[in-house]
Amino acid sequence: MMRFPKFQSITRLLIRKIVWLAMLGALLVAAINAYTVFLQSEDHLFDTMTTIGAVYVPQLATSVWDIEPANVAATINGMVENNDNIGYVQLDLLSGYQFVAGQLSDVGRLPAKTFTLYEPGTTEHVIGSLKVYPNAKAFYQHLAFNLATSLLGYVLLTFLICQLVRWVLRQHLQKPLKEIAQFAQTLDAERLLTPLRLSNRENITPNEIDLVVAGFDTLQTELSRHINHLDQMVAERTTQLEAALASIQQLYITDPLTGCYNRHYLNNQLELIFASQAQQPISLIFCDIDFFKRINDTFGHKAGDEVLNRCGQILREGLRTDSDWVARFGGEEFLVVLPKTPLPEALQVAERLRLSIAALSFDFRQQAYSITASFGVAQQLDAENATQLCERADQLLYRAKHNGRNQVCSD
Amino acid sequence: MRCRLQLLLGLYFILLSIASAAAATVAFINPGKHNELYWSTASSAMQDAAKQLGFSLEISYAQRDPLRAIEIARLIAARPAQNQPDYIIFSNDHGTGPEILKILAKTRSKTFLAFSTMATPQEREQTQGPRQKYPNWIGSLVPDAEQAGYLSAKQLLTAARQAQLYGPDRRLQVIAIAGDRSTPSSVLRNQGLQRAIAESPDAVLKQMVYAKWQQEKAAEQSRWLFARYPEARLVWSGSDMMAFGAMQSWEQAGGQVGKTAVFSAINTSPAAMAAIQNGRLSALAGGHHMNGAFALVMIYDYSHGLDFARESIELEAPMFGLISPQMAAKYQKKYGFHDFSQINFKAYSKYENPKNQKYVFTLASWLR
Repeated sequence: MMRFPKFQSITRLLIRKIVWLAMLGALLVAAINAYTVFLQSEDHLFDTMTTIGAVYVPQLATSVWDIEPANVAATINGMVENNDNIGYVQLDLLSGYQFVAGQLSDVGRLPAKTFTLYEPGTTEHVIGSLKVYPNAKAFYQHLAFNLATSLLGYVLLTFLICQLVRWVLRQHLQKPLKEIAQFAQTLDAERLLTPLRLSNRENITPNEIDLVVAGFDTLQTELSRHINHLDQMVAERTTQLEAALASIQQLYITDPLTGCYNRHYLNNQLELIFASQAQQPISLIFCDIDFFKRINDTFGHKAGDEVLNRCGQILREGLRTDSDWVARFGGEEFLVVLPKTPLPEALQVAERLRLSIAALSFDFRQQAYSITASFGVAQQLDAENATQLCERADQLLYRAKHNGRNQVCSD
Repeated sequence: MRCRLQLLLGLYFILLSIASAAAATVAFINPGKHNELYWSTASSAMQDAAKQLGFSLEISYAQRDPLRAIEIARLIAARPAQNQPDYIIFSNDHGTGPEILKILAKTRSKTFLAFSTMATPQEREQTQGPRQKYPNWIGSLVPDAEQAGYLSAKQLLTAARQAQLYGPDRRLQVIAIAGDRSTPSSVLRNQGLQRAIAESPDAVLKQMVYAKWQQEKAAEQSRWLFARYPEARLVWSGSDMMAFGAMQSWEQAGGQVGKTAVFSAINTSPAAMAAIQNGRLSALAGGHHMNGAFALVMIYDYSHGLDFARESIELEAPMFGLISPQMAAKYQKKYGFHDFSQINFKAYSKYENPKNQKYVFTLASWLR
């Protein structure tokens, strides 16, 4: 709810709209009612006057006929005094006498009702006429009172109905909606799968509210299924990606022809090993295949590649531990790195590798041939870096070559 | 001063008690006004009769107010028993009779109805007859009021025939000004008029109105009536005053009383007597003002042990008679000053005259 600067509950909105519309309707109905009441009141007024006339006329006729002017005067005074509806009465007799009662100013513009007076017992012998004027002031006062009470009644009824509607809306709309809204508001990743349960829904036939709740339920179930599926897929893809990455890594640091590490890996690792005290002492073996150019020239590049491949395999398989490794330095030159190895052990390794390579046999078009390799072995001296050690090992390899090849040289 | 007043009052009561020991006391609740001619004449006749018959008569006037008549009865009933009169004479004017009877039933007095008696079925049912529901109600005497209306109407028609006052329809058109609708003597007079009209095929009663015995009201109503019935030439009235009111209107309208229209009345006032003599009235009936005096005669017999019940406890006696101009002259000469002492009331008593079988209270018996 605090998400909006101006918030209005839907129940409140509905109630306000209903109240306004109902009040408008009540006023409209009251206005129509007022109009009909006005028409009816007029009719009723003239009916009443007819009734009053019917009561007084025979009495007046008798008094006139019996020549009782005092009675006549008293009767028409009584008509005005005892009947609020009558404002003015005028009795004109054929004999020329006239009797009046009431105030002509009370009559307003309402028309008079005229009665004819006959001799008692006859219906032909006219003796006079009676004009009865309604009392406009009393009429309009009475009308206003009637209209006011009826309007008040309508307004009260409407107010009562609105209160009932308000109560019903609160009970059946506001409360569940509020619960739904609160639920939706507090729905975060952790509570995403908490089910929505509304209070006091036991005795209610399901309606749209329950459809919304059911919709939430469906949505949550689907969401949960979807999330599970995604997790699974991510794991699968991660594994695949890791495999691919490992493969790329392997390709990146390996020489494809010999299966040994490449010069790039060598450069990186050599620095790391030399920087680590734990790897001391480090020994290097430089190895170079003897007369490789002649093999290439004699038996072709394919034979040369096979020689390189088999030599690389011998070098990799002839190492002692996992910590020893071999890289192709370039051309037919290999560098074997032996961490935590003193020179005598390195010489033994080199010697064993020389014998293994010399024991290899190749054939080219049923013609057998073998090869040899020369080795330069050096142990790291104090304060000697990788380049300097390599340089020194290379110098020793050169000495081995110079001394007749197929041998291991060291200081 | 105060002492002297108390002394005088004491003396008065002593004298009163001596008088009551000597003579029976009678009270009369007069429904009329004390200055009203008819009712004061009736009182005068009663006083003369009481004097002759040895009664002490006390008269109270209700001033034509029915509530006042009832109030007078209440005052009498509230007196200590020894101060209540032996006899009370009252009238049923305006239907006050049953209530007065009920009030006086608690007294030691004997009650007697005169002038008007219980006439309507409701009144009869309420009071029953004398000496029944109210045992102290000993009887009644009323004049033949119907006869008064009848006689005056008959004479009026005769006069109109002589004067040829027929309307265009060749009939004698009569309008009637009656007293009221409730007093029995009034109702009976009206019935008498109607009987006379019914007997005369050449006469028609156009309308009867009620002027409450008042001259002014009769004048107003007759003014309307003359306009309403321009061909009517006969005016019957229940009393002399109402007849005079009608005459007044007729003259105002340009008519000549006794010539272009004829008038009748009931009563024996000096004005009525004068009018019958000078021809303004064409018919006059009277004699009923003697009712109270004759009632005293019946009470006199009763008090002497001769109960009038032997003839009737509710007597309707012919008291009314037509008064000719000659009789009117004689009346004014004999009784013009309301002095009825010339009449020997004891002559009407059965106690004094054992030979008399019936009471004869006719006009002719005292106006000859």
